[in-house]
Amino acid sequence: MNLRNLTTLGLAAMFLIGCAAQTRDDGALDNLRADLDSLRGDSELVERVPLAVADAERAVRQAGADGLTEEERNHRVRLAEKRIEIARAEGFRAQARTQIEQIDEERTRLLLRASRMEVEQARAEAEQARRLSAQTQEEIERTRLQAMTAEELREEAARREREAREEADAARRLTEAQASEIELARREAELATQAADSLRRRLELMELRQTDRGVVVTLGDVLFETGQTDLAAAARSNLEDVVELLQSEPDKRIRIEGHTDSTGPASVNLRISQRRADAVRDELVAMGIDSDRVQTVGMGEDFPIASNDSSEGRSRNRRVDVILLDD
Amino acid sequence: MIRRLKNKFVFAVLAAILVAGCATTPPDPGLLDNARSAIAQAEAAGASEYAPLELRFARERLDSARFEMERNNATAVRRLADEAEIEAQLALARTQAALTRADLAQRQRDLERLKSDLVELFGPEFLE
Repeated sequence: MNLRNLTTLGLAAMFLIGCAAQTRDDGALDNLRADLDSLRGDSELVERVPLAVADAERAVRQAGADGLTEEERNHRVRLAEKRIEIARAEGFRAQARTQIEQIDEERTRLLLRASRMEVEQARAEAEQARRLSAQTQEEIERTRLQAMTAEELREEAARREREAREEADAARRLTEAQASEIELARREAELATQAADSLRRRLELMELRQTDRGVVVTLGDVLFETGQTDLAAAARSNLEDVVELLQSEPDKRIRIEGHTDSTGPASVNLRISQRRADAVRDELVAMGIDSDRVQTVGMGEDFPIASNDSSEGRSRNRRVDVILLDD
Repeated sequence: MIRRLKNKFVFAVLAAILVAGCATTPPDPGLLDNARSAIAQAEAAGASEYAPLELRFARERLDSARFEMERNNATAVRRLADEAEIEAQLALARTQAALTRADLAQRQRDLERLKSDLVELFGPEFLE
């Protein structure tokens, strides 16, 4: 009886101890499961590392298995706790990796935009440089033109000197030279007054006549601005008819003769007539006439077509004849 | 005679049990291999800098496993080796996470520097 009581007591005690142990295990397991739930709750983390999370879940299940000794259960709880921590660490790492990818994308985007803007800037700079170079080119050209003008002036002066030397009398030569300057100025003044009614005569600009040398087109002095040997801007449109005529006979050679009235020294008139003939040639060439077809002659005052006694006559004598030569 | 035979039989069975016991008692030294290589891997990744506590814990578990090995306590060896291994895996995971975060921080700084350089170069409207 006594022995039986003792046995019953022992069994009860063992039962109690078993219960107590069971309760302690449940506490550790509960904590473990709560930890796993909090891991699962961070869905953003969980979906990045599904394998690590599955490992953790399996470890928690193994820790909760039936029939384990207390030691084995504690061991498995420890393993499962670590599995959960590993899943967390891997999740954080995956998050950081995603952020790195985003940063790299933004960096690439910025660098692309920067290189685009660099190209644009380079293009703008090139454009600027091109403009500057064009400006420089223009300046060089201007300087060259100025130099050429100076060169021409020197040539002119040299020619005058030669002409002057050719005169027999030094004194008369000097007087004539002075006179020619005075005459030029006077004639410029006269041309200025005549320019006023040039419009009317522009209508009579072109005279066409057949001669034994060929077709002669006479261009009136209104082609030129007062005192200038350059063509007036308005003259260009008037020359279009002449160009058309000349191009209708492309095989014929062209002779351009400059004429003046008898006012002033003959040598000055000769020069003026030559230059005007040259100016008309230059313009015709610019408008498409082959320069090889053209020869120019300054005829001076020696071939009047009207009386030099009246201003009307003198005006007619100041002319440029464009002759389409019959061979 | 029969009694003697019976005694011999019992002795033989006991001896067999003893031999069998002796055969299973020395635990396989290979049980520690996984833990060792996991620790080496964590060390190589830089765990002594980024996860020193986890690494130390793993080494301590491995030492305990060796201790139990000498005592032929196979079950304890297995558990301790497993715990050492997983602790080393945790050390590795935390080290790698820390390295990746450090990399991230560096790239963030680089990006900010790039942004400020670009703003200096092209003006604030560049980032819009």
